[in-house]
Amino acid sequence: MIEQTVPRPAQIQQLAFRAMGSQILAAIDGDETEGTALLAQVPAWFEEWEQSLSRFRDDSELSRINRTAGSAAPVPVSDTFWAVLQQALQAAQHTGGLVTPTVLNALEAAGYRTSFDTLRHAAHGVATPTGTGPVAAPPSIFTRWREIELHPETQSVRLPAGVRLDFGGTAKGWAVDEALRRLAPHGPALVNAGGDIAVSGPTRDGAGWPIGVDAPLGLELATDSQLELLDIRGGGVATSGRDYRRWQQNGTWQHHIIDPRSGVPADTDVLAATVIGPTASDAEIAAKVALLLGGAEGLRWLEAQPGLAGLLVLETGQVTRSRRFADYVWSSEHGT
Amino acid sequence: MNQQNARTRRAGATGVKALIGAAAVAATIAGWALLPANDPPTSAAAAGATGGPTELNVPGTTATNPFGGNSDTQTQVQPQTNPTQPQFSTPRGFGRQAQPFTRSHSSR
Repeated sequence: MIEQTVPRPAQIQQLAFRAMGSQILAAIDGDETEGTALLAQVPAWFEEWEQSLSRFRDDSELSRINRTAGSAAPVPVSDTFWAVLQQALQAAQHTGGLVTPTVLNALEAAGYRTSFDTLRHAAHGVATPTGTGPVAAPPSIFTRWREIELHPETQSVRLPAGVRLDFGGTAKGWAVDEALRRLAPHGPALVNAGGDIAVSGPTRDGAGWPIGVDAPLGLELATDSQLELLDIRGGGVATSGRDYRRWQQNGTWQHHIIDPRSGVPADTDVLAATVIGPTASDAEIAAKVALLLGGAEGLRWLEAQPGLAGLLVLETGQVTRSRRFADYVWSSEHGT
Repeated sequence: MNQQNARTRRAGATGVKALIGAAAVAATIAGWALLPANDPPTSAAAAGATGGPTELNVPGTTATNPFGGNSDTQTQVQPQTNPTQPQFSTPRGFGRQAQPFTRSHSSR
């Protein structure tokens, strides 16, 4: 349908800041005064969550819990930690262990020991961690998430010996969804943390939020860096890629997406996977699954998930899309 | 634009390990099953609070898993002089010549 009238301009407040090693954007389409005041709280939310969930802070709750691995007694945890750990274990359950929080030892063995912000030194995010060559993590990380004990009656956790957690994208997806949950009662809202996005609904004008899908870094395009423009009116969008958080260790390229089946950075023909899902968390987990499965299997898997749509960029430059993806592409005949 | 995405919901989450709280599992399963609606959803739906499980099979695993602007008036001001500090801006609504309001990409 061709738009017939010029829409009333919406007053969309937005706030950009940096947290969790990523650029954060929060936006709300509501009363300007209320929106500004509400958005001003968002950085504190992320700071609180990062202090609980970051593996890069020695005094974080996650670092403290990781140091208790192998202890006999469960350790009480905060509401945030509890929620994210449950979500991470549910992801492991639902993906058969492909997405698991038990990858920290493998990440460190691959050289990812400090925050990427501190590692990168070049325009394309190439980092060169110090240390010895890659050491394969025990393949048991594929299954050891099953040994993590949760004690709901005391909201406490016990990690088995040798198991250390990294929430990674799971924490970011959870934070995006949680921030959106808090903003949404005050007006249509959007939150983006490093490319993981959640949208509460259309803007007050009834329009979808135009969300670009960037081409992976290093992919040569004829015109610009945008692969698609999406029309998102609710739910989540996330991209998992090995194009940015990568580094060389002893002459070998490494990246941050560990394949739990091998215990080392995933050997996949997918450079980046973008998924649209019910929430940012769902999209983030599914994007990682699609990347780990590889181009052909990842696309078949996406097609089999009625709640997901996705786009895969292969290292050859080929771009493939699931059938449902077309439902979300911004149309030039878009009616607001 | 035709944005009517069918929502498919299937019940039947099973096999949840005893170590994982049943209530929390149910909440997540609900979120994984809901097709992201490109018609106006409720905020609860956007937060993944409704829906039922669908089936997921990841090759090579043993589990059967439930898965379920830019401004047209160019009034946007988004100072980026210090990316570590919060920056406020107030853009106008999206126009027919929409540019991305924000972008998805690998984590950065």
